[in-house]
Amino acid sequence: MTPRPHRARVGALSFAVSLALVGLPACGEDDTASEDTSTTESAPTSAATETTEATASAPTISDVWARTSPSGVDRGAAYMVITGGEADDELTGAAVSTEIAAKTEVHEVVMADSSMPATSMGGGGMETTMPAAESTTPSMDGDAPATTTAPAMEMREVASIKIPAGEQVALAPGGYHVMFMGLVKPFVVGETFDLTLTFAKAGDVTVTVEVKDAP
Amino acid sequence: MRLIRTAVAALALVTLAAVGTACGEEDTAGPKAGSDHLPDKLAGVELDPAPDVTDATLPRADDGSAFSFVPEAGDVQLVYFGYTACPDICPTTLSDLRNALKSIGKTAAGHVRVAMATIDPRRDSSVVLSGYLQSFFGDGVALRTDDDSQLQAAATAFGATYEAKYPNQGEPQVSHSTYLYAVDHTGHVVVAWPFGTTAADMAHDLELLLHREKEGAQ
Ligand SMILES: [Cu+2]
Repeated sequence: MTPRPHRARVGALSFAVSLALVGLPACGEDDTASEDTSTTESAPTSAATETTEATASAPTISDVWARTSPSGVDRGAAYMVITGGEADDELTGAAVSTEIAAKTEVHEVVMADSSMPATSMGGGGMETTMPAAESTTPSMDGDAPATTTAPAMEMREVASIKIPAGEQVALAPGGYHVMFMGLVKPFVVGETFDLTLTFAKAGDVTVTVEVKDAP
Repeated sequence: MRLIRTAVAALALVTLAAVGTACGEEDTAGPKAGSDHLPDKLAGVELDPAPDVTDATLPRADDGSAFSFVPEAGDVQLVYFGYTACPDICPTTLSDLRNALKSIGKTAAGHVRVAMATIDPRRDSSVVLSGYLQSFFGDGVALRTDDDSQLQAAATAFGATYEAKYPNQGEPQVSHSTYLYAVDHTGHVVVAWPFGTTAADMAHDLELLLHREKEGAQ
């Protein structure tokens, strides 16, 4: 989004291309492996030769917020916009004080089409247990059984999120979120807390999260 | 931020349109992407045929009594299948609905009933579920059963799906369809809002549905 020098863009692009060619394993759990790859790959790019790499290449983070957590729920999620720095980077982790939550992970929400439960596939048991379904699913069995069935979604942990140089990556509802488990106390509107994001290259970046009802 | 939700909603619609072409979903592709809908046309998805949920029922979490999804004439019943350990999809949809109800005003909102059924009864006790829903809607009705066949029956009547896996260790894996359903007094699901439907679109549809209910009552 931010206007960037042409040279850096080319560097970033070739970096991205070389990554693609190498076929960087998507989000391996072991950080060392992916860091090694990144370092090797980024060495020839113009961006990585900047001497002020640590600061100049760090992604910037804006619009950081977490949704209020309903009573009785010990989970929460935070959202933000991450703008890539000089070089491609990856968000590899997130952490908060144990005074806030027991565990913090980076999650994504995906379509769960592959794991559709039997109900949606017109499973045998359904017709017998379901008087109310007669007007819906069975009548659709002929040509398009799935029409009245909404697509399912689920969330899962991701090992990393790619943050391409100069590009904006949104962590937003329905996509990526930073997930908190074991909240010590509910998130209340107006409260703030520190969240430390770990990037493969830029290292740790701490941001302030504001609790809101909506973005 | 909106982009992603729109994209997800669009993806959901594309998926739906892809499987639904045979059933004449002629209006799913058109107006959903924008926010300016014709006053007499619903912004959400009109399932065809509209599911009949007259015979579906689930126990109320508070007293265990059987809850009917069919509202009185003049009212609209909204139904959501979700779970409280869902920090992303569920609260986003419920919060958008809360904004929609605010925007249509107290009188109209008084004719909209909200119910949420947990698809994760192992973790959602009655108390947790009721507290969760009522933090969004003071008079929301929480629905809960330990009998999975009963829950399946109700969900299937709507065309909703869910799956909860509880591994011996680690996080339970829960997936669920993310539509918010609106039921009219005839017991039919008249519109379903995919995840990502804006509060403005929900408000638009609620006003239209309440208007239809009013006309039907005369
Ligand atoms: Cu999550």
